[in-house]
Amino acid sequence: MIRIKNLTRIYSLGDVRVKAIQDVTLNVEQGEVVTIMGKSGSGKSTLLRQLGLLDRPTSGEVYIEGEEVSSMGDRKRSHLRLEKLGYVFQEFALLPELSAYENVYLPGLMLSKKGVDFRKKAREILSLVGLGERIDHKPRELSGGEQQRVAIARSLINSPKYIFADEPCANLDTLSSKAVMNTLVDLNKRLGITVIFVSHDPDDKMYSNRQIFLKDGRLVEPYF
Amino acid sequence: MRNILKTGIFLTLKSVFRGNLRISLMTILMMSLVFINLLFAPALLNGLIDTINGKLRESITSDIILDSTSEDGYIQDADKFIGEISEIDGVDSATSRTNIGAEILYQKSKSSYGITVVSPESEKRVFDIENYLVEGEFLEEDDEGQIVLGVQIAGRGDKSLELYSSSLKDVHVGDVVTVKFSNGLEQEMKVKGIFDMDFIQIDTLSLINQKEYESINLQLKNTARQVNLKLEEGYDLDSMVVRIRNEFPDIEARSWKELAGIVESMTQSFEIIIIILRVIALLVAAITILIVTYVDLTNKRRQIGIQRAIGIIPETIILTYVLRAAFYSMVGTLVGALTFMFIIVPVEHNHPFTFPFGDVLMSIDYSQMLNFFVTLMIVSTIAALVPTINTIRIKILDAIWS
Repeated sequence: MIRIKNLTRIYSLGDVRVKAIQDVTLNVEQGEVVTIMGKSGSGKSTLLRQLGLLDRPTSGEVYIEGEEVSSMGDRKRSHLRLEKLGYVFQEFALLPELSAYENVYLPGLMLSKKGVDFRKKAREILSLVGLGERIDHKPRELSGGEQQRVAIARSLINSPKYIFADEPCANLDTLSSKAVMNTLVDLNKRLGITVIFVSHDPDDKMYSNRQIFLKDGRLVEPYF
Repeated sequence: MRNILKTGIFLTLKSVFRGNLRISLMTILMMSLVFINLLFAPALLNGLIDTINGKLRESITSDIILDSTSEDGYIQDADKFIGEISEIDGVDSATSRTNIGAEILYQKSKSSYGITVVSPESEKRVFDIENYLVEGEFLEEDDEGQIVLGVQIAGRGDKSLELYSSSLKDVHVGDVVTVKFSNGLEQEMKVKGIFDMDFIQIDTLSLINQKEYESINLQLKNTARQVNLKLEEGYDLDSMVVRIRNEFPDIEARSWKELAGIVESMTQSFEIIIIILRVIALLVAAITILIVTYVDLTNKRRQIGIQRAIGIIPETIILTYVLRAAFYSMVGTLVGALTFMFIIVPVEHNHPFTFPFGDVLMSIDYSQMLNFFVTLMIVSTIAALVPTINTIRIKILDAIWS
């Protein structure tokens, strides 16, 4: 379970202070698929980055499975990201020097649990996302949709309990978008992974059990 | 820790072999040049020292020099003493030498470097001057009225000689010179040979036969100012010196190293120059690695952010850059060492540098080479560590958005 309590994130841009999210309180249960929706600049990605432990809040608390993580040390947060979280970036964020297989395998190599063959697992996950035939291709040799599916596969290598996806379909065509979203939903159904994804597309709410809406950094009631 | 190492090695290999090959090759080339630079001056100095020491041993000091501690400074009954000392296990051969004051005159020129009285047969066994003759022959045991001159005394009409102005100017084999001994005796002597060892201190020697001198100066019959020993190959010099000091209390025994003051002072000056060159070379290596690492970190800041976002621990990323720098240094030093050993040194040996002491052949000191290798590795890894630690400190999102 994820619990957010009075979370505020203020960015300082020179003398200007921008309140990206303000006093957000939210609970997400295990196994949910939650869409964070809102207009551009509403604070969706900022909120997701707080959940994905990529950023620290200005104030407030984030609890993952009962443990407060926002004030945790960098090393512990790295371990938590590695062991329990998967993060899918809007712009794929693959490592260009590595093949699709190596991109997926890398977090597994870092994790290296006894009894888990991460090489085999990386191949299996790539097959699961429909890229079993393209594992040796470099990111530049893959389409946008394929790259995003590699990114999803990478987020799965450590068998995470939570996947955070930041507008995973923003750079994809309709067909690829559907494939990516179906993959995320399928993972939720088959593996019970909690999926929280950001979208500004109202049609994406069909993929989730629950939608939360942000406006000017605050949680609001649905507007459509 | 094992996981950090495994992941670090994995990322290093991918970075080196799938990164920019030209930059990798350039960096390796720079490191190999730095390593060659580190090796060059010390190898030259080692060669210089070996050359000087070799020539001094071949012509002036031998392995061990024995002097009398008596008041008159002469070893009496020199033949018997040489016989006894030659019996010592480890002594290959022994000879006596006596330096006497004398002037050598030829036409209007005069040379005042003194004369060395030698026993030609044993002299040839201990010293090697006869192999540096540029004219004529070396002395024989029964020679009378003959002298062998160093080229700086003979002059040979060669105005490029360092001491030509104080030489006899144009003496050649067969010419007759006048020798005025310090005791007032004067004798005409025929030049039998002229040697050139490319070493001023040696090339100002003049040699005459001991028997002949004894016939002129009866007081000095069967005496010697010093006895020189050549040891058997591989025999320990210091232990022999100690042994002789113990067995012959009236004799002062010194190894050639104790007399190599000229080399000592020259080495000190050279070593200061070498330290300066070494510091510059290491700075170049450090700056090269620092720039390559810094540029790579700047270009890959986003990738570093991604790696951290997916849970790669910062120490792993630091290790990747340190290993990469170590790889560049290792391959660079290997290429540099091979180039030095199999190209530069053989070429230099075919076309040696000429110094006032003669041709100097570069000499490789492998323990020194290992030291340089370790130093270069340490400097390189530190140079990679500093910018990497600084970059790793930035926030994940700042790195990804950069």
